[in-house]
Amino acid sequence: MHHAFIDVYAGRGAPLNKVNARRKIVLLAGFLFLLVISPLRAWWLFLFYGLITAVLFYLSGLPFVFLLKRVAEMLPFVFIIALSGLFRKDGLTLFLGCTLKAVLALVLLLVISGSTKFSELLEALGQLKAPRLFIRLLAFMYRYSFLLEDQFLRAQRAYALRRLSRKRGLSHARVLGNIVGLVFIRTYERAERVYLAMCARGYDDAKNN
Amino acid sequence: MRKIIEIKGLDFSYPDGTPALAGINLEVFEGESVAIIGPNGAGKSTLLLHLNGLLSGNGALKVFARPVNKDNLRFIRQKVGLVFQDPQDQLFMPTAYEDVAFGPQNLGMEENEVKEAAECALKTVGLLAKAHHLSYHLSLGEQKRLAIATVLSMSPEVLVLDEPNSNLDPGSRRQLINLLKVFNLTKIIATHDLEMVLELCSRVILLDEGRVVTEGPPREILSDKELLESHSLEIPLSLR
Repeated sequence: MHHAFIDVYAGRGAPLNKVNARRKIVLLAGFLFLLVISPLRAWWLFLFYGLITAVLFYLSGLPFVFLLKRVAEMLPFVFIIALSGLFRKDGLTLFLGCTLKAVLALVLLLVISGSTKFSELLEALGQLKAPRLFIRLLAFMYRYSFLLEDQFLRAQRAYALRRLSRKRGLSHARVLGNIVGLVFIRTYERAERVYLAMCARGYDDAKNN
Repeated sequence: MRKIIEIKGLDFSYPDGTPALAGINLEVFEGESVAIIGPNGAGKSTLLLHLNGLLSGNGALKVFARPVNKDNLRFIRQKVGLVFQDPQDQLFMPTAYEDVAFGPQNLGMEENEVKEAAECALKTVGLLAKAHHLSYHLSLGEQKRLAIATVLSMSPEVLVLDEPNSNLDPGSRRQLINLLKVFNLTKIIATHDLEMVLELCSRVILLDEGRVVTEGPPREILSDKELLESHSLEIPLSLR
């Protein structure tokens, strides 16, 4: 199976694809900081931020639907946190402000990460002196996400082939649970083998972290 | 000839109590190509994991005349390049180049030396052009060769391969065998591909139930019908 769901839009030649990843990370961090400290009542500031975000989005060449989908996925979490603001003084302002800040931050994150190849992102983090263990974990997550998806799809397909009823009852849920458990165990065992493979090539935890 | 690996009375049981190796005695000399054959679950992979100290059983195990222990691990792991059967385990970095550079980096090489070693290894296996591809997107044949490159970059003296050509199409298999032929390293290969053994190896060790059943020249052992069949193997076509 062939998929690169993370890097799909990273190498399409859009203006933002060409910007150095390190610069993008620093910019993102600075912008997020500004966003967080900006007072909610300064609405004109948010207008300005929104404009910048929109321009960056345009330069990233990401499809609007992609952005919308990803933001929609995260929105429930944003709401849960923003809701707590409703019960305070000036609740509505807090609620709307929080939501706006979060959505802006999300869009920016998506624009930057979506327009950068993951490997470039990791390299840039390294140059910015992020902890090595952190970078390695991200790299593994990226590397094995493909495999994990494959494994899950394959198990699901094997189930679909032998599944006779179309009912989505308790037994269906139980099988899905089994599949998740199976993929988890396989991943766990693979992690052990990968660690051995690392050791075989001279990896030493004490020295590398 | 220099004795490279010496194993005396090696026993090993997995933590759950399953015995895997029982009284293994084995010697490997410089420049040899040794095949380790035997049915599934015979203990081939377990034995290989001992060769660079990833597992440690009871018994005397010496690599380059040094006992395998904590103090020698670094030395031994540089000298003995172990390649796992599943390239998905061996290739854990995002791109081919990063994977090949991983070993040299751990050996503490300078950046330009790492680059040189990595590029040389990639060139040897014919994958220099794919250095910056994601290893997951390479074909299985390419992945298997890349897995070998990841240890070649550490300039080992012994190459230990666990089923290097399992699941390969005939073309990729041929490419791999030809590649292995070129290497002047000492080779230890665990495999079910007995035709390849005939082509590549100078000695065969038959392992079953964690014991060395017999060892000898490939043609002699691989034409012994009774012996092979009693250990879930069969005479390769070219010897029938």
